[in-house]
Amino acid sequence: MLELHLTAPERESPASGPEAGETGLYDLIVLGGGPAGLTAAIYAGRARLKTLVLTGYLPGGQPANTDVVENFPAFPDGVAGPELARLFLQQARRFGARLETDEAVRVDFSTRPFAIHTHKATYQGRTVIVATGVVPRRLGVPGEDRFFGRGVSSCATCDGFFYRDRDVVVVGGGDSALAEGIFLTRFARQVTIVHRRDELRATKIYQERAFANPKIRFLLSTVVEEILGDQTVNGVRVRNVKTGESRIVETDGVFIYVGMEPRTELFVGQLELNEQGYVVSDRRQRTNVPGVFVAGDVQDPLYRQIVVAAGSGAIAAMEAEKFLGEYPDVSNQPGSKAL
Amino acid sequence: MFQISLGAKRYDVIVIGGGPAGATAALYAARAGLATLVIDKGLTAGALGTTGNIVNYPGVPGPISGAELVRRIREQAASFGAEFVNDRALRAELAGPDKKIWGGQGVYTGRAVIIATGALGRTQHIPGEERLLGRGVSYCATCDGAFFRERQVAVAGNNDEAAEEALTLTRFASTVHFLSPTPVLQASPHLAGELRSHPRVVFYPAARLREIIGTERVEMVRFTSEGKEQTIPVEGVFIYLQGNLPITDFLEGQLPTSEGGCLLVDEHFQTAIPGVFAAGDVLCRHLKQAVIAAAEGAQAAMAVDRYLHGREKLRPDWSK
Repeated sequence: MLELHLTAPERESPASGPEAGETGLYDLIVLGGGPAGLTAAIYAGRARLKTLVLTGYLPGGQPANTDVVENFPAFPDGVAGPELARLFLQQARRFGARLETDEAVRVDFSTRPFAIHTHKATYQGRTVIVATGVVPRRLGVPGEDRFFGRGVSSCATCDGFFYRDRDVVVVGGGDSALAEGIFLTRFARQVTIVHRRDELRATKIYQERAFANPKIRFLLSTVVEEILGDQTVNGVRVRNVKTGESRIVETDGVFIYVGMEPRTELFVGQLELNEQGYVVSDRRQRTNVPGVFVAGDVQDPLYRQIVVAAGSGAIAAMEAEKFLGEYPDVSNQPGSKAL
Repeated sequence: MFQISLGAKRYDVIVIGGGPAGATAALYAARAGLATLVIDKGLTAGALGTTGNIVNYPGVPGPISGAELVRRIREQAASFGAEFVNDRALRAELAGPDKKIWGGQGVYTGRAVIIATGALGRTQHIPGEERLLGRGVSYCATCDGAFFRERQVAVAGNNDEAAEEALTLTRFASTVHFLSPTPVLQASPHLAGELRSHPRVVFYPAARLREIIGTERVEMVRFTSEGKEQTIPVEGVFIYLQGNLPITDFLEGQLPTSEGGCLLVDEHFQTAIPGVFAAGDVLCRHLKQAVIAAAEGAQAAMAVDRYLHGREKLRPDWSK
């Protein structure tokens, strides 16, 4: 999990922490503190909604763990991910949102107002925006769990520094795998990108950069079968899927970029999810529960761009505002639609 | 209208409109390696360009002017290789694999098109405008200015585009009567200054163009300025007025619209014609929210990339 590698750009330490058993009532509770959730908070704050953001333990979301963001519009020179995260957080706070480095452990969307139980407190929200994002998918091979945090990582920005003059393996063939692989060449002696297909899925711009980088080599049509080590990682056993040949590649670290999974475990049985577990919504970011909206990667398996997440956050907040105008009295809110 | 062909360059994608949706689409398209051209009327021609203090664009604490925000996105798009041309789309031929866009300066060809023209179109024509179009009424000084050598012309509008077009006309016309709907010009200070001090320009503040008069060709315009009605003889009328309609006139009905004139697209921002996409205020979804328009532009560009590469699905990675 990303949370294990906390290098948050800015720790949230609100002046007034929640009292034990606090039951604060908010116009809007935003679950998630990435670009979608924080843009929702900016828009909600502007609309003067009393807003709480439960950022989780990576305030700022995925950008906080990203080296450089080149394609968020209006940053012609690119921007360091942690800096972009800091700007989002600062702006949300300036518009009056309360930010808590806490996360929901249980939600109840059948009561009105909605109940959000966190590690520290219980909050009530007249509306909720789900913006919990995605987490890196695991390979599911022997050794992965055992060495996670001890040589296995999904965050080059967090852990790349530990591999100065060492060898690392990057698993995956998409934009993230290549971008992080390129980033790791700043530290590592050699970066081996292992991809199960015979061609890369990444955008041309990343492929060109990776091919031009003398520190990067590719093992295509190859899968990782096991992560090996003693106290820490010392190798991976790989198999060529075309020849069936198996061998051991010595390495000091393994970075896994094989896609993402939506963080929706909390909502099973309450929100309509699709087969892959993403929250289902309409174009106005409404879920099957009136008053509960959704934004960002947790509802977007396709685009997964910071600006797209931010746009959906803005829409969700405007819809929440509209909803509160239509149903000023929580007890009259319409009930959930059948799943 | 005469046209100059701009060589044989065939772009992968032509973006019409350089506001937050168009410029972001260009950024994404160019960064994906697509040969990208943006046709745009200037930094302050759109809704965002004329907006002052923006504070809710995420990541930019502001206050920042809309023009500056757009300028930054364009600079970013240009840094990845997107080309920009200051022109206005006048006509389009969208069917088939090569899409053609006619502008004031020539014809542009692209394999795909993203329409991001915004929603500052006018709701109503001026009496006489349609009848005398091409007979003295024009929307393009670059195209038609030379026909008015040593003649009197009128320009209606108040933004950068109107000011620039009026200054172009001063090279030909004997007098340019500038009818500004607002008491003060909303063009950038240097353009406004140049226009106001130009010896061939007569400025009419708070002017409303009422009628364009003429039998075969334009002969006169009737208007009020600061409440006072006047009729002056002109041979050309150049109109750059703004309203709140989606700008789709150059499409001449090639694409289906809603009753309100908004372009209709599918979930991947594609219109009824394959390879033709649309994003931003021209869809009338969430007007004047820069971040939402930008988000639509990014999605449209990614869909264009998929269209051009015939991919089964979009790349599911989130990239930086």
